[in-house]
Amino acid sequence: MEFLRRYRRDTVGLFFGVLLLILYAVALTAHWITPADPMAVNLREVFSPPSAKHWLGTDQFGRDVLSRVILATQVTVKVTSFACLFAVLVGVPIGMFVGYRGGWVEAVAMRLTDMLLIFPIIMLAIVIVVVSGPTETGVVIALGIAQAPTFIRIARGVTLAAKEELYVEAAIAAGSGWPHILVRHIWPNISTPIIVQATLTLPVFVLNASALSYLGLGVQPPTPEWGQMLNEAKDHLITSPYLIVGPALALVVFVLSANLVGDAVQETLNPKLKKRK
Amino acid sequence: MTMRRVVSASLAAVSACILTASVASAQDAKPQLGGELIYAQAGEQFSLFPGRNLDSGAQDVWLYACENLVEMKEDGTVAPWLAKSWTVSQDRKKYTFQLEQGVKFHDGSPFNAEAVAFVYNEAKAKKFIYSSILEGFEAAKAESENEVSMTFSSPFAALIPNLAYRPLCIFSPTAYKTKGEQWMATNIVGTGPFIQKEFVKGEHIRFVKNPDYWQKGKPYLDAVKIINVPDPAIRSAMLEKGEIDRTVRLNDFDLARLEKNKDVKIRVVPSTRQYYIALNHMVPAFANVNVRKAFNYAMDKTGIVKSVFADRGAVLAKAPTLSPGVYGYTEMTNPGEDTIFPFNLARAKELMKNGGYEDRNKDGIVEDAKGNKLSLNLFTRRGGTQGDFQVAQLIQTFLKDLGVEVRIQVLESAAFGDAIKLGPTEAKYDMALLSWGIPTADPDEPMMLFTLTQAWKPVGSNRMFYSSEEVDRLSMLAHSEVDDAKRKGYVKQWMGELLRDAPVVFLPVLALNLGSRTYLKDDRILSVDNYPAPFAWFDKDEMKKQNIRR
Repeated sequence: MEFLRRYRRDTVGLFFGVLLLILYAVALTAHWITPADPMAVNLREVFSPPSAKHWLGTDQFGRDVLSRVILATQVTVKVTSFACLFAVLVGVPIGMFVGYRGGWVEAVAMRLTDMLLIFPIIMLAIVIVVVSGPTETGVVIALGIAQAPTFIRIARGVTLAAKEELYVEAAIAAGSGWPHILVRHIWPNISTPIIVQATLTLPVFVLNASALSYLGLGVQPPTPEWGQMLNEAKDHLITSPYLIVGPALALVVFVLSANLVGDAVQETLNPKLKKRK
Repeated sequence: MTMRRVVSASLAAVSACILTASVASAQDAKPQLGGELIYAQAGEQFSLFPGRNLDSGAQDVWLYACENLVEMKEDGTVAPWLAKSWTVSQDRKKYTFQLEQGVKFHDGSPFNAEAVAFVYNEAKAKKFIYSSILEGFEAAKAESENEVSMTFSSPFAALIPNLAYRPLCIFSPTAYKTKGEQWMATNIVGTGPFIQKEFVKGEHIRFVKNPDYWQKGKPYLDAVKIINVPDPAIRSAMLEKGEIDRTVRLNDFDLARLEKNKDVKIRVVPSTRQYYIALNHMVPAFANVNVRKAFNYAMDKTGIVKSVFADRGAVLAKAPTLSPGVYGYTEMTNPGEDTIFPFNLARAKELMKNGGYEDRNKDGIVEDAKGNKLSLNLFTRRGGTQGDFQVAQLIQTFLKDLGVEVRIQVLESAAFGDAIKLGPTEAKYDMALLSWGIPTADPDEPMMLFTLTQAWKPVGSNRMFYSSEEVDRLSMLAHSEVDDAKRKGYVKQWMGELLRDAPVVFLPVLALNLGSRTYLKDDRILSVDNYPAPFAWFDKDEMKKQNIRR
């Protein structure tokens, strides 16, 4: 409640927060709000420009572009949310454990993480998708693993600071085991930076998911995805330029909102940052 | 618009009128000498050695330097070239060729009977990639300095058109023997009008005029530069700006716009390449002729041609496997129909029912008598052949309407190549989207390699594992029949059998396109996916008018 009250003061954050919520609402209700069947091929009506019947026109196979953009929103939201969750669920426990445990385990784990960080995220994701296959699950795993090192580092960093606190010493003195300490005493105190990081990484997930599907490695047709739609539209840019509008706009709005909301959340949860401004 | 521009524009308009008014005289116009032709190709060439590469893009490079015994014309007929004339023995097993005299390879060694005999004997000994189209070839022998003979184990009716196939060109045996096959992969040495000067892998290849060319007064150009530009949009932009003189494989959706540009000439011809879905007959559903026919009727071919190929890049197939321009081609459509197996979903559904497949539990997918639902995979590439991935997506939709679940598996080129060369027990595909080209424009190739039982993969190209005694019998008869009418009769019967059996799903025939600047004269496009321009020339005045200065 306190968080919401403070967040409301940030007008930009509020505006884009609402926009992001709308996008999520669209994603959740996609199956009911599409004006036409996004998969229905109609070869008598290919490449028709925007009209009252098809607001964003129809594509090469006569499918309604608006419906496809809406369904693609659902796919993107689903893939990126799960990928983000995957990265957090993999990265945070590892980071907390090695940070708390210290010693050679930490040294080895952190050097491995550094090695993963050397590769550009998209390249790492491509390698993983090629191995796991271009399915929704494959993309989730690929994006998740590619981003996990960031979460490992953050979780480890904050754990290092938290474990020196008196209440942790007290818990040790009281005879608590490390799993208990990590869950009960450290996690509640390090969750804020991790939530901020997750919100800030969300747009990266969206962009990477679209990049993968633009390269043909993401979700496979006929299921639409923004990147894949952009790739298809690119071949007809001169003859049917309207094809590019829908997916491009959706991508821009999503990434921009997620970015600005991430910033706003960070500022709200970290008052020090605000003061410095 | 400045005055000068107005004048030059009206001049161009007037000259365009004159040009169209006097097409006949324009064609007789005297070729002008000089200039460097710049030709943009779609992809890079992995090998320039004709014995190891059948890629049509590579053929389009080496044809400037390496020549065949005979040459194919636009109308599909074959004319003498390095071979002036030939005679055939009574039993049709021995062909004797009289060669042009005074011809030299680029390395200075003489072109003679011995060189020709060496190339074809080496092709047999080292199993050159094209050896299958010289079926039954025994040996070549130099009878004299300018007379070479080729003998075959059985009469071979299609030899002459097959010899026009570009990979069978006569390269220099001296260069081959001294430098080796590896060197030949990046260097082509023949008798042609141009000599290779530069080769930068993935970038360009440059040829210069051969001053000692055997046809006096030719070629007209000083040099030919072939560059690699993979993106069709960039190729068309370069053509419009005049950075290049000609290019191929333009985006079909771009053609209408390019045709409005009066400085550019667009030519579209149907190719000898037909799309098809190889149905694996080892899969129980496809052992059933009713199902195979149902699949054929379920395809909306007109829709494919319209949505994937913009009504330009492909034409409806009027005969199975063969296309116009191929020897023995006849239209096999029923009266009043525009393609074989015209789209008819109701008929397709009925055939499925006759084949024992019905939607018994009303889930939208058909099941066989035991209740197993019909779910199949479809192997395809993406961009291997123009429009393949889009066609695959449409097939998935069409078959869904028929109640068949299709899983598309996109494989990259090398993996796809490996997947479709396995034998009947190892093959993993239920369906594979492929195209069949006939580069020799003679039906001998599909008859011997495509539908024959002995040609089952891994040996030939029968990837359906299709077997029919009647088809085998007709193929063998046509292979050795020397009487024209009889041979054409066998070919027609063979096509009739293919329609009766529907071993594959027959899809549209691809069309080829070539875009050139209008000042470029005498460059050609052949339906066998060749675009020769060794004897092209520039109209210098026209070039100046279009503001092209190089």
